[in-house]
Amino acid sequence: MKRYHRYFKKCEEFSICSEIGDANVVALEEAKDRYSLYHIVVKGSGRVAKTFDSDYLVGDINGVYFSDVKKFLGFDTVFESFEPVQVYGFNTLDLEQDWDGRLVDGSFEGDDKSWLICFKGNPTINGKELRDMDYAKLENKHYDVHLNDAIVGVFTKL
Amino acid sequence: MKVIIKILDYLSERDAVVFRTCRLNSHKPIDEYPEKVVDCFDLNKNDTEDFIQSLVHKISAHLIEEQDENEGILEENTPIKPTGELDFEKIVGKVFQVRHTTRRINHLKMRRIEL
Repeated sequence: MKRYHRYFKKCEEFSICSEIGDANVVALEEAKDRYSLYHIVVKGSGRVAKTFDSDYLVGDINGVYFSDVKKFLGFDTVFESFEPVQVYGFNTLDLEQDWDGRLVDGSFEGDDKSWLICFKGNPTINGKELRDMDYAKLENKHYDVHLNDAIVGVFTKL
Repeated sequence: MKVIIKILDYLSERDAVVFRTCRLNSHKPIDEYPEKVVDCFDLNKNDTEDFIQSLVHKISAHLIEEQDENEGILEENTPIKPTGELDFEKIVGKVFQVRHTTRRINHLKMRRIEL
């Protein structure tokens, strides 16, 4: 039997979901449950599409592992893993509330409308070592980042 | 969700049925719900059970959801969204709205830090 587990955490202004599964797993998500704005692949690869749509989006830890998936809001979707996979979703709590997301690639200036999430690895930010799934509300100040090959995202309320 | 459906008429010239539907546990009689017409050309006419089942699949569940939405919310049932740190003193007496899902979802461990 193939393994496929879903995880969820509601944070202060957003929520994070995660799906961990074996290769060749197919999973459906109903439109009413779809609040994901970004997908972050931290292991393996897979693809997602609106149900019955051939226009799919591939996520791959060795390629595109951070994707804007806003075009799937309001649609039933299907996900298929190509190999053992772990994917996070950054979700809005309210479909009227849009967010801008990006991966951190070095030091940056923060703002108080943003949250930082460490999806994988142990970056050092302002002298503090983070671990997987640490998150922080940012302030209007400089953030000194030593990425150490970690996957870190910053998400800003629009 | 348990569904009931009442067939009011069969329109043979159109191959359609007139019906009413609602939740089994509705506190309103089924006759107080609006009449609807549905074409039967794509329904399963093998026997009564298959027909009713296919009718429910085609239209009833969606219709009941719509009816529920249109019925409005009692003032005392008006919910708020659950947000912020858990403080039992602050949540007692309040009505919260949640998105119900039948999927099994595990808790994702995350740690809030200050940077």
